Amino acid sequence: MADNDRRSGVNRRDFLKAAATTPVLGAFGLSLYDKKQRDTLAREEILSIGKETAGTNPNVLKRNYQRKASANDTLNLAIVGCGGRGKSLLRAAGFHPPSEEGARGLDGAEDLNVRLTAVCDLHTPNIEWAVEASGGTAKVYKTYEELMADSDVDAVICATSDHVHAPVTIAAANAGKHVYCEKCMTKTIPEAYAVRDAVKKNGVVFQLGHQNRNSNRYDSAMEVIDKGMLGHVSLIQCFTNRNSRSGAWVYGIPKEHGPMSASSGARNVDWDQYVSNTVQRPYDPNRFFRWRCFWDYGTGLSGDLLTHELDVINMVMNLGIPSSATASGGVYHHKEYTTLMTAEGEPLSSDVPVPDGALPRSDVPVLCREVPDVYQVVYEWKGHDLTVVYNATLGNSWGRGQIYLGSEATMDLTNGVDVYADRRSGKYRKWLDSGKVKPDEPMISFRNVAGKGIEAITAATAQWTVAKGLLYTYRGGRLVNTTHLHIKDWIDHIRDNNHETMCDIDDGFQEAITAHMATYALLNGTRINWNAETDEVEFEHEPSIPALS
Amino acid sequence: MAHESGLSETLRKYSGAQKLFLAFLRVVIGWHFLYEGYVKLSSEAWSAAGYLRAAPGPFGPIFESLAGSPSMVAVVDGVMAWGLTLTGIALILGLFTRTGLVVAGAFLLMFYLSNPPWVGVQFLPGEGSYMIVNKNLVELAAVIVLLVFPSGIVWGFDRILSRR
Repeated sequence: MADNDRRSGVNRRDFLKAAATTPVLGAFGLSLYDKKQRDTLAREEILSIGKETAGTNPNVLKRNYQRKASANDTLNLAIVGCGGRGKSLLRAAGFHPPSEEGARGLDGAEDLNVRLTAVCDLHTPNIEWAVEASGGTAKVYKTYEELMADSDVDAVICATSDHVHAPVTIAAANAGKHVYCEKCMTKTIPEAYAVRDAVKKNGVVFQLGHQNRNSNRYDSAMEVIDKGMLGHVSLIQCFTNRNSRSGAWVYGIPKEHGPMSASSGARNVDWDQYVSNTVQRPYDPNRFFRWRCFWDYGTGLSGDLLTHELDVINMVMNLGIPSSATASGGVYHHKEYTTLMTAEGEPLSSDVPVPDGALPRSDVPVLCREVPDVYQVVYEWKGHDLTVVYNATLGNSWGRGQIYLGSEATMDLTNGVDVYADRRSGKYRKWLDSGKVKPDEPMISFRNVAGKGIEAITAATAQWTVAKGLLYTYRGGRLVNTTHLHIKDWIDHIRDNNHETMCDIDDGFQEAITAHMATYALLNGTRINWNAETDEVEFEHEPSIPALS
Repeated sequence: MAHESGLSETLRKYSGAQKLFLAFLRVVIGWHFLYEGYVKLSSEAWSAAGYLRAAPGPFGPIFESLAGSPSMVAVVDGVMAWGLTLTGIALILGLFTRTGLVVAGAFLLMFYLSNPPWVGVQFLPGEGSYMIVNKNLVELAAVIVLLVFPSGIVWGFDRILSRR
């Protein structure tokens, strides 16, 4: 029988053996169907809970603004302050010297139809860079006051040190020019009022430089908050973690530098103008090139890094100014820094590792910073029954994200948006009990991922930056420079004569007051309160630091 | 055909359990490939680009160069998603088993080399603890075992093909 079968080729027994494993494909399909049903069911059920609460956050409407006016008329921009951040802003707006590469994340971006027509900076090489970036046509002004009289300037980008933000913004607004100002909006509390008044009185379009608002992860985060999925949020934790020389604001100092008033040397720094509205001191390159380390010119961790966290928390939660702030911290890690050069006398771009034969630079004094490098702030919002804790060290780079702790769920913005049901939640009880939701696995997870065939950033540190939105985000699967989006938002609003930019003057006022409350609390060793009815900050004693008065 | 009948003669020497578990091994590897392929085909967000760019070890630059351009990445993504899916179906059905096993082996070798758990290489973190041997290498070894045993002829459509 068997021999007969073999002679005739394929018989029934052969066919059964051949198809023996085919039912496995059926089992695969059934398992897949079952799995998809369970996943989809759980997702729809979870989202249906969110629909019970109506959205109330007006900031949701600000996102994805669509310009109405045409962009046919060229807009003329000026830049005041073209150092590290100023250059990044110009690159993001599409300007760079022909010899340099353009900014990353601008591929496929809409042409903003802007010209760079005027430049003002206190450091000669920065002026040369900006003029070259403009195509050689920008006019150079020695002072920002003179620049504001130029009728060929429609709008001003201000990226100076913090102590000049308010004077430049007020002068621009009074001259009827729109303003993009870097954070922190001002250096002091009185300046925050003055800037708000000037911008509102003159009706100019204002944008504060919190470009990370454009990260698309906040669309998800705001939806989660707006739908009440977290329950009562009683505590938010946020952080900054950096551990590098530049992260601690110890930037490089060029080989050739010196005040214009000197009788010899490089004479490329307008030091007299730099200190004209703050404490008068003799020329010190640390205080010019590393200004963030000093209270005379900067706002410390409050203005530079805390604001990035508190500004987006304000956007996501629509909180306004906190009712009180307390702060502590000090210079604990970067106590003294000796600037080194190579044995050949060239500036060192990095100290890790220190090359053999490195020598201290005689032209740069030992840097002794004033602003804390370890800092903790506790804010209270009485009306929301909410505490926000911010803490930072510039001596450790362990990444910690922003965490919203609610009575029903926790939202973790460390790697994207992850929402975890609280194990004691009543709202999610049914799903927790049935195992559809597990307390240690996110029930909602949003990631900034590159789509198929799209550029991706993969180094761990860069991924973290993408997650925070400080440099890049994704739009339609494409990597996009968030600073470009922020400048575009400002320019679109100028063309529409609409004042409600992504981070407008009211957001800016709240940002500045929030940051300064913490700084004043630290420097005065006291609690600072905000009186929402009188629109005033209340503290027990007047600031004792001259630069803050 | 002499070769095939020689194989059949060899197969006759195996016990039922030996033949059963060879087929079982083939089917579970197929299942694994099919689901990996399905997930990549059905996910709009999936791309190999991130993995290729992060590839550590001595072959890292080669894998990174594959992610050099969006068009290249699109090709790699297509080959990955469809390759895994079709290989999975082939191994489950026992159809073109040897071709499927060669492709599966090539995939596994690539996965192993793109993230080798070698001493001194900063390999990408994942579940489990590995030193030189990881699950990719174990699965590759299993594929090689199947290559030297004609399991598709015992239970699978290759049985019919080998008779024609």
